[in-house]
Amino acid sequence: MTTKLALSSILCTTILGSAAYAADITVPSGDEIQKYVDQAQPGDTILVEPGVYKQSVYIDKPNITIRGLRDGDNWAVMDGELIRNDGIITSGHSSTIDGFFVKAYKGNGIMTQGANNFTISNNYVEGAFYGIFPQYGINGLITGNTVSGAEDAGVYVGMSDNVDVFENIAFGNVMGLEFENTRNGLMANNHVYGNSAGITLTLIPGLPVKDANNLVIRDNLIEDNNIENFAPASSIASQVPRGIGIGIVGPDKTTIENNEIKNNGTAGILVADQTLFGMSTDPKNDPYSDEAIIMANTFSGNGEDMTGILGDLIKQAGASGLDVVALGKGRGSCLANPDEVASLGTDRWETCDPSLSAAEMKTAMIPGGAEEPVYTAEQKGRLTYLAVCTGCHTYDSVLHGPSMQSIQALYKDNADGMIEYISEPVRKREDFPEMPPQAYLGEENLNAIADYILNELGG
Amino acid sequence: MSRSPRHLKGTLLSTALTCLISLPAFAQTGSVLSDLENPEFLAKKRAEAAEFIKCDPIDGFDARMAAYEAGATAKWDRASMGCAVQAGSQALDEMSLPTNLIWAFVTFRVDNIEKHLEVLGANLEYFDVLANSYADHYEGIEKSSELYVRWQDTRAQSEAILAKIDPIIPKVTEARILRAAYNLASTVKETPPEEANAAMKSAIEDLEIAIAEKPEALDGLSQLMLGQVLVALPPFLGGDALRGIELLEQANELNPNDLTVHRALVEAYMGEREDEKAIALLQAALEVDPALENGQDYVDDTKHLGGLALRLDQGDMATQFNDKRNERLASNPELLTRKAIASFGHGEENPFTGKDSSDLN
Ligand code: HEC
Repeated sequence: MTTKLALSSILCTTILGSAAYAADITVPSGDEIQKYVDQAQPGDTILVEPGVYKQSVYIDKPNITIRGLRDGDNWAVMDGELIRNDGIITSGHSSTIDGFFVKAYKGNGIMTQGANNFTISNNYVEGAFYGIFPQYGINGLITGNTVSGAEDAGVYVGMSDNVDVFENIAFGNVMGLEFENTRNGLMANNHVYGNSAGITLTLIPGLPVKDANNLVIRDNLIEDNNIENFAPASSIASQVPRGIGIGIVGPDKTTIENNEIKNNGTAGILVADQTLFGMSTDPKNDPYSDEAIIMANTFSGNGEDMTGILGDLIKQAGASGLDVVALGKGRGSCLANPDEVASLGTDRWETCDPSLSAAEMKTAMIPGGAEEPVYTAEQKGRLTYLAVCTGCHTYDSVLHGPSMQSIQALYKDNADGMIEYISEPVRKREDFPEMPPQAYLGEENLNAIADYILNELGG
Repeated sequence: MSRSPRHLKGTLLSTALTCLISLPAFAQTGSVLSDLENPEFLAKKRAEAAEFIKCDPIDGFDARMAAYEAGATAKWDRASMGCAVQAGSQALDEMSLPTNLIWAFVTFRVDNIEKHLEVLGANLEYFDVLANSYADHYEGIEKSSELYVRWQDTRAQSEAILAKIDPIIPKVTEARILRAAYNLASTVKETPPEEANAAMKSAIEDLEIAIAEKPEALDGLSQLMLGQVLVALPPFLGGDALRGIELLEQANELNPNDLTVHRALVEAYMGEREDEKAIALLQAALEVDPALENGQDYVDDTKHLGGLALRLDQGDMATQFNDKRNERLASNPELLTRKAIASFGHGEENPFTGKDSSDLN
């Protein structure tokens, strides 16, 4: 399995202009990283010395590289102490987040929100709800990371386009790697083991991006994905069937090629319709997984310890030891070596034509990079609200914090009071945990968020 | 307006699509959601919810029945509809039910049977109202506790009625259909998948019998339910999309003004890539008189049908559904628009445009 690290250089060439003035800024061990981020100019690299950083970091300017320096086992450790929601978030285009050890955040380990041309590389992310979570990003590279312990997906690429996920290690997550409502993605040379489900390709209802397609899963080692699904029962991830190597639920035009898929107890590959997960239906989604192209892969030992309801269903059908299970109404799917693959529900499938091979595909990224629109304050307000506040607040019910409806009532006509609170929260409610301070978001963003909450958010 | 189980609708649209798969397991501490799932906290929140949703006590058969009549169709207000359905269920406690049909006619108590079926039907509709109240992605703890308690209460009420009508099921097809409807509707949420599967199996048996016995019963509700189940199940588990579609077509013939049937059949056609039939049926749905539907059902169904129209590249039709929906919303401001709001990093609103992505334009 060869490296495609050369790709990250493509990103660097997309960066224009400010590169000439680029500077290195060093954060001394344990200091407040946000201070340095706030001073940085586009094009700068922020080097974070090994040490422990009990903080959240938010980047909202373009072309910033933030890199944890590592000295053997001594990392730059971002520690959420199980009180902070987010480790590092960026909504700046052409951001690189590299080399951090990120642990004990409640929501997102590393997140990009609305950031194009991103690189997330060589981090070790432990725990959190989502490990590495780029959302609304066009053109990105996720490589060389290790992700573990996520209650949802270790690497969760959501509503994004043109993303490469190369040479990562994902273990001990509910889902190892996921492309959700994403178009044009390539996962290659990853090692995905010991999750509840290895790799999932999904189309989730109720989101602004209504489709998912052109996803290639190639040259990965996907094994022993059998751990108990430990996602909280109220989350969608709790519905993910345990013991599957790859799950395709909703997207079209998916190619699975030259992976080694072994010892996944329920089945090697599951192809199903969106409705299988018992999710609400979205009339704007085509719920069927069309054109699943399963080229030659190496299968062994799958379906030998079937669990859960999917296992029950397979047993009811009198089958076991399955490499491929297809449950839906998808059309146009194919299997390369039907005689060598143990499958169920593929009666209508054709034999794949060799010309469908994706073996030569090098990248899903855009040559020359994606455009980098400048966001208005309004857009930033919505994006930051989404990225940060929704981790603990919902609109009409208590989550971790009180409902936004009740907050709207409290701060009607008092945006300043709200901003003051968000920046320096005080303990108000006995039966709630403390809200961590959000001053790191910066004045401009806090204004935008307050404006959004008080004037736009709601039914 | 008096209700009869004949007008039961909407209950089951999502039912056949119920999760075949789900595996809620133990939670590990870490995320906000898993913190909230510690059993003690959950028990506390549920106890608070039970207290919070308590209905004002109503005494006497007539008062209870009046409360039921007044509120049992308020699908836009789960609190008041919940109390109305509860009042109706309590009223039945004072109503005896003859188990011998001849004896029922002799003693003029067929009305009692009708009332039981009607109130059971209202409970089943309430399951649907609750199921529609769950957020698309993640639910906060107060609301999820409330929905959980209401779900269990509705289950208990329905089972009490079912226990009373059980002896007449072999003689009254409508009662059998409602038992099947209960099995499907009550397992959409808050149910381990094994149990939901077993309930689906027993519903299929009842529905096959009901269709053989009395296909026109309850305006083709059996066909609507069985049709959806057969369309949803994969062939190797007994699914049969073509027969499912036939049944849904029968349901549509028996009950051409029910948009719920339109939804199910349009989707079934789309699953078989019968787009022309789907488009023709959408056109028929546009002709349905809005006044024939419960307001909440109407705005929900037109939103859904409009979305399907967009998927079929029928922008004009989507606009027409949208206009009709907006008209209804304007004249009935109490109806829910069901605008979804973000949690955990995502939601229906497009952060770049500020537009709700479920809008029909
Ligand atoms: C890590 C979880 C967490 C995150 C992230 C979070 N909050 Fe909170 N928030 C809380 C908690 C917990 C409380 C209740 C604190 C209390 O009452 O003591 C709270 C309370 C509040 C209040 C109520 C203040 C009052 O006067 O009663 C406001 C306003 C608020 N949050 C706004 C926000 C905004 C805006 C964001 C996003 C920038 C945000 N919160 C992000 C957990 C969080």
